[in-house]
Order: sequence, then structure tokens, then C-alpha cells
Amino acid sequence: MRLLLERTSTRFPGGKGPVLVLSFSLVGYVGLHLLYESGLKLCWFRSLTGINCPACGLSRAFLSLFRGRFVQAFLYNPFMLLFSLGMFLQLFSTTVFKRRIALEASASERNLLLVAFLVLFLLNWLYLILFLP
Amino acid sequence: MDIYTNDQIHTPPPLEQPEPHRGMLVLIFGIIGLFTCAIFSILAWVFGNEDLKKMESGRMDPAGRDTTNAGRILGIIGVAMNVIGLLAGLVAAVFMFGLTMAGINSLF
Repeated sequence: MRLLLERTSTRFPGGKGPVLVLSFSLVGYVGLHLLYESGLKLCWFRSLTGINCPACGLSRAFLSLFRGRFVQAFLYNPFMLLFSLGMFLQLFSTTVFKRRIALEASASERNLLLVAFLVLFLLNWLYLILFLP
Repeated sequence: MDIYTNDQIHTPPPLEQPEPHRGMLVLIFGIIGLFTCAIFSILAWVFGNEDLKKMESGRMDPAGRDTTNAGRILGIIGVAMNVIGLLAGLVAAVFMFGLTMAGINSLF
């Protein structure tokens, strides 16, 4: 198992649609946060069930990150913050430099990583349910 | 009976092993994205598109085509739901902003 920096033939290997939608969503979320100054309840999962969803706290984490409060940002949603930063790094390197970080692994190693991802995801969710206000 | 000389025997070039599919990952991302956050829906859509292209070109194991496609479709549905919610929120915000401005104007 190893990580590679591979060259891609196109800037949008997953299609242009998802990138456009992601850009629109980011602009939309920022716009909504600016319009609703009193605090916005965007999470329908939390509105319906009363418990935090696995991505709750991510907006606050990014706001803290932009203000330079790195520890506080990490505490809001540790797993999803790192996951989102990795995703944005991948998106940036693919669209700008046509290079992407690829994982070379066998099927069994991929399955092991998937299980590790799910365990971390669930532990992070438990942390959010117990400790995130 | 055929007799082969050394010159006639050709060993075929080793076939390139196709990349193992990640259909389960795409499906899990699609399901998580549908119920929680749009980030996973977008990832399911992107990974699904990439992997289906790889399967068509023979660079990825085609055994996971159905799972990948299901995850991709769930991702698209999750993204569509989030975009509709976002648009509704924006329309409501603009409407409330308009009402507030109308109220302020009526005062003066």
C-alpha cells in the first residue's frame, strides 16, 4: 500500500457537474450565513432528531480555522474537518495542477481502510453527540 | 502432431491487473450523504463517475459496477435534495429580507 502523486488527463476526472454543484453550494451556504445573522439551523437531521449529525460543527470548525483558532476548530469536528481539508486539497491539486493523490492498494487493504474509516466516522459521531453543544 | 520450434513459441505479455473496485465505499458514501451531509453525496457522485469510466476502459474490476452505480445515483439524489433545500433557504431569506425592508420603509 502506498500513496502516489499521479497525473490526470483531465482537470475534472469525476465530471464537471459535481464541481459546479459544490461551488454553488459553498457560495449558497456562505450567503445564507451572511443573510441569517442571528444563527442559522441548516442541519435537517438535527432539526428532526434532536441529535447532532456526523457533520455538525463543521461550519463552526471552518469559521474558527479562518480566525486562526486551530485547536478550537479541531475540537468542533475532528474527523470531518480533516476529511474535508483532504477533499479540498485533492480538488485543488486536480483542477489546478492536474495531479492527484492516489492510493495504490490491494482489495483486502482497501477493505481494511474502509473498516477503519467507518470506525473513525462512528467514534467521531459519538463524540459529537456527547460533547458538541 | 504439431512440432514447435523455440522460435515459434511466444509467451504472451503479462496482462495488466485491473485496479480493485471501490463500489462499497461509493455506496456507503451515497447512503451517508443521503441522510446526513452533502459532502459525502458529492464524493459518491465524483467517485462513481470516475470508477464507471475506469470500468468501461477496463482499468478497474467491473464486478462492482452495480454497487458503484447505485452509490452514484444515491449521491446525485443527496446532492439534489441539498441543492433544493439550499435554494428554498435562499428564497426564504430574500423574502424575509424584503419584508424587513418593507417594514422599515413603512416606518419612515
